Amino acid sequence: MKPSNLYDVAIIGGGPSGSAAGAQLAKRGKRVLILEKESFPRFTVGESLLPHGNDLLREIGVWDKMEQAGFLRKYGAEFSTGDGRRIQRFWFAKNLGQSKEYSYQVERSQFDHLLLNHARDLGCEVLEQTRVQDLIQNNPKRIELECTGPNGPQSFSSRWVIDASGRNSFAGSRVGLKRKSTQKNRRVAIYGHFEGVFRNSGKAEGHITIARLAEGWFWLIPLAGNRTSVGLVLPSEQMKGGSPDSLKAIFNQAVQANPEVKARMHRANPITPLAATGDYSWKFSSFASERVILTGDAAGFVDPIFSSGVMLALKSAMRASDLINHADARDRFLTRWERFTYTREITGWMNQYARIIRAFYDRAGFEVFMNPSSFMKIPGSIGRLVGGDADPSLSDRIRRDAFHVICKIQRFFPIAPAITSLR
Amino acid sequence: MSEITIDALKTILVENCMVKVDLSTISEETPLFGPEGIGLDSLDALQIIIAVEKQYGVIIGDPTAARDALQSLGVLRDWVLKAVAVRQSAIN
Repeated sequence: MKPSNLYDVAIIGGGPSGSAAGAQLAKRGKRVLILEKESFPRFTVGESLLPHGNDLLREIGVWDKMEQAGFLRKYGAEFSTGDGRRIQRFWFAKNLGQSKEYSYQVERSQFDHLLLNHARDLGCEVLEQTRVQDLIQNNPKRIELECTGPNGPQSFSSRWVIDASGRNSFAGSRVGLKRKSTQKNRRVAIYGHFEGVFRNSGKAEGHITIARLAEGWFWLIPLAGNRTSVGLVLPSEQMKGGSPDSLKAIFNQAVQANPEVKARMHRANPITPLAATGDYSWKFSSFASERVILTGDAAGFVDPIFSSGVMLALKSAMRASDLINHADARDRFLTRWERFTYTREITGWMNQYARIIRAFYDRAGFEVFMNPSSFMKIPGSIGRLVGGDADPSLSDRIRRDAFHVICKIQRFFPIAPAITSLR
Repeated sequence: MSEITIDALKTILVENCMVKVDLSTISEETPLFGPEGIGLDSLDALQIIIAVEKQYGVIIGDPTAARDALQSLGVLRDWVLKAVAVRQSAIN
């Protein structure tokens, strides 16, 4: 092997997590290779960002580029029922303060490309259309990556590997980490981009709308221009077939059956074909081996209701790059303790969301969520989580616990008004 | 039918309720009811609903729906805009 094929860190995947980790490591003088199987820009969903990700984008140094990119500002989130009778509009400024009053709704083809180019600008070598086929570790200090690129097979060697390959989680199982499911029910998402979707007026134009159905939910994410990302999440048993025609039929039927969505979509035209993907949460039981770290969706997938995906992807990428930097300076692999604390910290963030996601899917939990009372300042603590605050203060932690206790009580004694369409 | 703007809704507010705060401090985000609100009560809510229904020809159904629709002027505006859009598409 040529020495030029020897890297400090190889990153599998050029999405937000891979680009963020690459940017952080390149800034600290590491020789970084990012291997991306697609050719950017490419379509993907998950367009909604959270204000708690803003500081991470600032730290990477890409925030100013984002402010110039013409994305639509998102000042909050709106939750409703499919029948349109219940609405709760959240404003980030109310619970997060003026410094985090907004984030952005981003077309992912553009946002991901911006981040990957930023990593390039900072000195990362980026190979697109290059798919990693195998990881081989013969030498305790090095991992070989066998790839196929546009010009045939290529191999690289690196002291560290970050798996930021998204839900494919290429490396996790290959280095002997175990996957486990974290959600009982399997769901499927059907989604596409539309034009002409009704959006809120004024400052709430960029609000995401989440419409809860008896079983499942819709997302409507307004993007810059006249484009809106719309997706439907349903239990997988309601997804018969899977042919393009049946996807369309299921999607349109759900739009027609839910007045809130029907009202917003009555003049909508599709601009991309509908696509479908599984939506069920799982994670690895550990997110790191001695020289391989999993970040973002490659470590575990969190149901996307609260738009936490990109924020968690960036946050874990920052931690992973810190860990590698620290261990590399001491010329050693990741200790058992480092692997344990990395896994525990990220699991903690995921669990914050897992718990409120369970409440969202639970009829009683959703009734409490839709009826914020000022009791013990609980809505503020939930509002901060909706804004992406996954590291709560002790008092917020207690308030969030109290919220979940109230949700349990609501199952038996009505505290919040019933939502009849869900009963 | 008049245009559905925050100012038009503010006019409805002052014509139908006892608003005890300076109108210019009410934005589209300001909660109308509850401890953080501008001190409206359920009677005010009823007055607003009747006025909005009359002015824009939309029906705000049950009390819980009304309470959510009236959480702020911004939410009320979008609620009415959606209802009007649906009615118009039904006519066309």
